[in-house]
Amino acid sequence: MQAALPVPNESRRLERLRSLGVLDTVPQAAYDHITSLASAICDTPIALISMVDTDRQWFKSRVGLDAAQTPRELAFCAHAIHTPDQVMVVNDALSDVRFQDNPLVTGQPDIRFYAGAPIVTDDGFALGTVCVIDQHSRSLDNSQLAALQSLAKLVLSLMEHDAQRRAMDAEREQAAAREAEVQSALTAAGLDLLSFVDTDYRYRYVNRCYLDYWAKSKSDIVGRQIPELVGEAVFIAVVKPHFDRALSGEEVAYEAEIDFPGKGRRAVEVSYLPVKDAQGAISGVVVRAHDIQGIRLREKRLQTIVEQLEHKTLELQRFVHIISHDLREPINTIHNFASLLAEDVPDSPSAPRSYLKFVLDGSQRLKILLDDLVELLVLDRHSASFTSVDLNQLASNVRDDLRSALEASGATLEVQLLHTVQGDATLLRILLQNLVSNGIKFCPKGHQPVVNIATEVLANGTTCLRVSDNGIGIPSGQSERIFETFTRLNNKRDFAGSGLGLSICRRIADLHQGTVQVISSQPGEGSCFELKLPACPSEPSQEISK
Amino acid sequence: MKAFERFVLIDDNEADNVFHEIMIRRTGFTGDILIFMSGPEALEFFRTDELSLTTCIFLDINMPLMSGFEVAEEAAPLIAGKSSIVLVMLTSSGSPDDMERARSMKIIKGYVTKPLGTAAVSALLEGAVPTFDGKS
Repeated sequence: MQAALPVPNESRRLERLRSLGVLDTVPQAAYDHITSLASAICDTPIALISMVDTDRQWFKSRVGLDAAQTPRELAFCAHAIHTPDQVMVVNDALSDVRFQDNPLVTGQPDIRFYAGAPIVTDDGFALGTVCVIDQHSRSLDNSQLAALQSLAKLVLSLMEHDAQRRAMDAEREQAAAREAEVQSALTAAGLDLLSFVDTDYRYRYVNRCYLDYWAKSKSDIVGRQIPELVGEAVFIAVVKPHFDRALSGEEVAYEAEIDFPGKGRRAVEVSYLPVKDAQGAISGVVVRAHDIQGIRLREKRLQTIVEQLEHKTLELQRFVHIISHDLREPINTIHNFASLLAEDVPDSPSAPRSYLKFVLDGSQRLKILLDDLVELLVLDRHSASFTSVDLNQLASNVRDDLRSALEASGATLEVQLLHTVQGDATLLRILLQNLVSNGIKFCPKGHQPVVNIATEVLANGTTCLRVSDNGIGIPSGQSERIFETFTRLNNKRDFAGSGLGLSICRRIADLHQGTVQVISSQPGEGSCFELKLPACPSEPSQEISK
Repeated sequence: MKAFERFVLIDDNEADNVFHEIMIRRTGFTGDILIFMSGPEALEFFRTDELSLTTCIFLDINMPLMSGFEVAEEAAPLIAGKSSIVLVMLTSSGSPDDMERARSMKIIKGYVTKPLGTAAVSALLEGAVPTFDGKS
């Protein structure tokens, strides 16, 4: 007897065979039909689908043979796979040196005739055969041989198809397993209390968090009814009404404070989400409780801080108000009597006279500062009321307000034909007064101030009110700073003022959702201030009531 | 109405009273100037005086015990019918609220913001009614 030599590329052939996953699978009807067909076509008592493994041949299907596998060294098929493209035919085993003393020939099942069509993959590996066996010597005609080859091809298709299906099933299973894993992790590890309660108010599922809050184990809760956990009274008064609404299909949410045995008293946001089965009937309710105790505490803390701030602001306002009032009297007294004294001291460059002038100037500055301070305070508490404001009228009011300053400096106030705007007349008058009086004030000594007021309406409805002067101008880089409270760019001796005027202007512009800024200025060549007012400002709500 | 024959100053600040008296005198006024340092003292005077002289009353607002407005309210029934008496607020408060309140009270005829100058006094002596715009 000659055992078949291993085929070239044997290890890769075996790898390919294993990859199909056919070895040792259960019998399948499709393969059994193929062996029946082979046996019928070739008129043989035995037909097999044989896979040649490392040291055995294993039968995927067999007709007329009891053994499920035989050793590879006895296998006819091990020879057949050496010629992948042809059917191996042994007409009489007794006269073939390869098989004449093979125990399968000399004993059961007494093989005399063998014909095996190799099962060959597309990439050229012969994995086994579809073969027929008879117990007397004979031959097959060409059509029978061709049929055997076709059946071998059919087996390959079947095996590849099976392998493909198995791979897909495995993939699907894996995906499902992954999803189930994520879902159970989500519900189990979440920071919310989750439970599923059936229509009988009975817990069917609770997550880890639920157990922690209630300081219970799963067996204490699952399978029991809600009243057993929360008590009959709470169940009837609080839980049941909400729960029954959920059972009727409604999503229910409410906030509650619950005393949890495991966590203490906590504010929670509870929601009931009805769950429907495949038929659309409600099968239970998912109950989710979200702990908002931390948020509540932060809210409370914030509220306290806001109240404290409001209180402080009011206190501060009251304080400045009182201070400015109480200061005004002594300042007036100093001013009044210093002026009387000054009249009595002869008009000469003597020391007492110049000292008195310092006292008078000082008290004058204090007076202006106090006036502006009070104005700023009043502004903070002023509830603006917006109407149509004729800027021509406003400019004429300002001319009256500043009459003495205009006369004293010999200034000219040029007013173009102005537009009408929406705003608070009182506030806009203060603003315009400030801008114009700055124009008059900040003029080099010996020059005659000229202040010009003009307006322009932009395409988007914004009104630009421009106040320009021929004064000392503003050094570059300082045009934003001047709007800050108490900013002064100039020596007090040359230009009186508190440093509050422009911050008052900005506050007023803000109240109108507008802006005020310096649009052009060169030192020595005057400046131009521009107020931009939107077409329809909304009235500011008063933030702090008096 | 005859020119004022008498001034009444009601103010808790002594220095202001002295200064106001000087300002009034500077206009050449030679009549009586009565000074009261508190509301109750002034009210007591209104109750006892015959109020036959033409009188200008300067009334401060911020005072201890009784504010100028409280004094004006209590003085109203005493001086309301008398055209010879003119009550003017004389205050350091330029607050719009105070001005508005003064304007709303019939008994108050005018509002002057301190310091009082000779021009304001002269105008009063010439019969001009002081305005409510806070300027003297």
